[in-house]
Amino acid sequence: MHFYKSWCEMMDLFPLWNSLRIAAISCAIVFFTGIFTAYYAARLPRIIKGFLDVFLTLPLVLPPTVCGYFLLVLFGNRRPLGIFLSQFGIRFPMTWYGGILAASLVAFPLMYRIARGAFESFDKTLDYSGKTLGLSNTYIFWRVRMPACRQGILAGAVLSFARALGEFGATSMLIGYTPGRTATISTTVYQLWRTNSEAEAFRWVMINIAISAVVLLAVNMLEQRSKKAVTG
Amino acid sequence: MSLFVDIEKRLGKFKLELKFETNSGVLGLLGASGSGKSMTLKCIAGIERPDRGKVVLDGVTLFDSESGVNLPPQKRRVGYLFQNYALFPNMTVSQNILCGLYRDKSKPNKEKALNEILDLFQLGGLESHKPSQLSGGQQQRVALARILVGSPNLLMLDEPFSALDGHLRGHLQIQMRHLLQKFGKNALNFGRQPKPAYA
Repeated sequence: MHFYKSWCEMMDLFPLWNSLRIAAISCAIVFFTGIFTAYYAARLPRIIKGFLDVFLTLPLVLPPTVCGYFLLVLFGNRRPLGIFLSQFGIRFPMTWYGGILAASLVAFPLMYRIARGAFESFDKTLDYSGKTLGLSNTYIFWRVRMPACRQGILAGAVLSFARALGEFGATSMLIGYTPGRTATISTTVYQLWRTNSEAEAFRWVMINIAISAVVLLAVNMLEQRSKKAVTG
Repeated sequence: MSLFVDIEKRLGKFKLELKFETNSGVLGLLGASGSGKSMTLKCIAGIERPDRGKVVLDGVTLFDSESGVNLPPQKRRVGYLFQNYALFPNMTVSQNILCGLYRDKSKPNKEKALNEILDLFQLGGLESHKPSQLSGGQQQRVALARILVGSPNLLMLDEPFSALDGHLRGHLQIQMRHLLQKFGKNALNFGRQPKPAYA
């Protein structure tokens, strides 16, 4: 208890809380959008699917700063969309929830690709037999397809969470670094290093490594369980 | 039962053209692998859409390219036994069979039908087993029970014995004949074997 207290006094834990909420909400958004995009993209004609695939996977290979650039071009305070949204009190630049937008964009392709891979290895005859038995498409999706692809989809969600947690480039472009308001773990490390607070930067580095290690451990456990499921 | 099928479907370089009409209970379709047997079944079941043609079952038009009728598979009441049985791996035997009763909304009815079919197909004691815990023959009985419990108007068997080894195949052919007789079902049997079970 004493140890915990001294830590809290020593450092402001806001970046940890902010990073976790941004990563958790982004992960939830990307989980559903990624799965549904993967599900519906599979039914498109091949050529359209090819183009869509390139477009949706781009954020995975682009430098995150380029993603941040596009987000600023779209949602900047003096851009049409930014002005429109600000009428409803929504401003993505320099707000903590702008971080959700940045992290979701960068984590989306991971979830999409992994869900698509899981769906591609899904046995189509299960879908067909469900339909001929009279099961609705919704029932088949949630009760047959999702359980069959469970391991892959969970692994995708965990990796998306990790990616969202580690997001730096697009986040720092869009929401910058304001202590107590938009600071995340990654931007805090950068800021502390720049201001010669190496000891504090080191603490955040250790926290980040600890969280990432737990996440990767979870992925490994999921993979081992899926191997077991395959071999019986 | 009466079934009228006249369909055309292009599959790459291969063009499937098929026309037949039957009023008898059981029909066997034979052909080498790749000759379009499974595709024909899928067109009848509504999983694949033919490019042109007509499918009529017992006076009900399931598909007609001219008038634009194309019933979804859920509304065709056509039972389809897949080569690999396509049992849902995450569900128990009972849950799998209850999927065949999805259209029936009354719970007591479902319970009754489930227990009857479990008895008839000698699946008692296996209710809470997962498909991966069953033998090939048991899996086939579950798959057939799951289809027949929903009393489809047509039963289609896609190479029903190809996944089984020789002596088991003979045994199951006899067993399936008994089960189908008990159920008084019409069946389309598609197989590669030179001596089909019901042709």
